[in-house]
Order: sequence, then C-alpha cells, then structure tokens
Amino acid sequence: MDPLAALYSVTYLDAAPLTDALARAERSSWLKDCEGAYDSVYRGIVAMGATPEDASDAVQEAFERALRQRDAKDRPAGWLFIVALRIWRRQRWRQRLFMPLAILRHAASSEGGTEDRLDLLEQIRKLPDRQRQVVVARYVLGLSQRETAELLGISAGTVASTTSQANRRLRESLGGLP
Amino acid sequence: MTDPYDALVQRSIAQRLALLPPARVRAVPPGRGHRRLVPAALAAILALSGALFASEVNAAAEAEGLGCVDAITKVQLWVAELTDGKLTLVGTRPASISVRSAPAPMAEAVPAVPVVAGAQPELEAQLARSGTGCVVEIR
Repeated sequence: MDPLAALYSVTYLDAAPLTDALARAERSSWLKDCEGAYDSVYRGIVAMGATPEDASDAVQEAFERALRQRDAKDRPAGWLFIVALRIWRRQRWRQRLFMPLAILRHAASSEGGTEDRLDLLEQIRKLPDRQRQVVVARYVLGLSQRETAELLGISAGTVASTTSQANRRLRESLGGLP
Repeated sequence: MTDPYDALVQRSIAQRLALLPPARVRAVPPGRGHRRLVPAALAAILALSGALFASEVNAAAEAEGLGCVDAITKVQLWVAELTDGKLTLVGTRPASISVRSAPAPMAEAVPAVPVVAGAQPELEAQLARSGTGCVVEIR
C-alpha cells in the first residue's frame, strides 16, 4: 500500500471520532453558555418593553432553538438576545391582532403595583429602538462596545454615540445625577 | 475612541431589573399550546366550511344544468333555491332563461334547456354575462 494513502486512511479513521468529540464538546460548551445567559437575556427582553410573562416565553423559545442549533455561534448571550427579541416582536404583532384579550391580560397583570419601582425601565422603553438595543446589550448583557457593534451590525462609533445619547437621557430620568 | 460606558447607569438598571420575578419555565413549550392550536383549528374549520359551501353551491347549480355559469350566479341560484324551494317563483316578469353547455360556435347543435321562468332581473343579467363554454339566452 502506498505509504501516503495509508497515512491518509489512518488520519481519516482517527480524525472522524475526534472531530465528533470536539463538536460535542463545543456544543456542550455553547449550551452551557446559553444557560448562563438565560437570566440576563430574560431581563434584557423585559427592558426592551416585554412583560415578564412574554419575556419568559420568548427566551424559552429562543433557548429551545439554541438546543436545536447544529453549529455553535459566537457570543451565546447576544445570539439568544437577538432570537428572543425577534420572537417577542412576532408575539407582540400577534397580540395586536387580538387586542381586547391583550388589554384584559395587561390589566390583570399590572395590579401588582411594580411600575413605580421599575421607573427606569419605563425610561428605557421610551428610548428609540436602536438606543434601547444598545443599552440592553451593553448594560444588561454586558457586551463590550465592539461585541455590541458586531451583534447589531453597526459600527463601533455608532455604538459609542448611541450609548452617549442614551446615557444622557437615562441620567436625566435618574434625577440629574452627576 | 473613548468608551462612554456609564457604570452608574449600569448599576441603576441592574438594581431595577433585580426587582423582576425570575423567568418562569413553562412545562408546555410556548407557541405549541393553545396559542397555535386555536388559530389552526379556526383555519381548518373555515377551510372545511368553505369547501362544503362551494360543493353545495356547485351541486345546486349542476342540478339546474347551470354548471358552467360564474360563481356569483351559482351562489344566487343557491340562495334562490333556499328561499323558494325552486327557482321559478322569484320574479314577477314572465321570462325564461335557456342554457346550453357548449361554446358559442357549437351552440346551435346543442338543444337549449329552459332553466328559469320569471327570474329576478339581476339574476338574468348575471346569467347573460356568464361566458366560457356556456350560452345563455333570455326570452
């Protein structure tokens, strides 16, 4: 047998299980990272404007998609956030179709009186969509400026300026803190 | 480029978010329970009733030898059948409508079948307008 061919066959035979094992390990680490990010993504979706119930549903569905992912992605928290955000927005459109039911449900869920304590969240929800996304990515998910830029598909400069604008408005709502 | 990260804003947001109840995990995965089942059932019921209605209307039109007329006319025929039990008691004008199931050039070869006597004027007009492979004469 040609020595080179023999080497190729041995490499192939040995490499296949090794690749599988590496893929499994990578996938396991991806799922572990997703689990770790679950809570912060849930809070991020609430900060984007969802009710805790809707945010729970959206994040759970996003996590199920993470379980079905064949390839591990970079930044599991960012991936989970973007997927959950899309799911929540789709749910919101559906809810608008059945508005009377949604109004009833909102009235029932807002009896707890937590709004007063969540005033800063209300201020975040009043920010423009891009500023909200940047604020959540940076302050809730804990992503860096560069990671936020890559996640949202914008430049780092845009992230910086958007963060500054959002900071100004949020500081005003916090009572003009220095 | 300086990073405008504001630790105070971050801390304030974290404090507010800490007041939230923990994320709950549903035993039934979201989107697979009644939320998807109800619209799917409604769509199935609508589709089924639509198919039944179309079949009923077509059968009524076929029974009168008017299988070739347009859908609106078929529905009108069906309604007339429902209200009167037969088509001849609807209008007041003494008129009759003949239908031949053949293209216009071959119309002479096919004997005309009288279908309606004393139909509503708008029904006659609908029948007269109907085209493809169906010759309608109003007398």
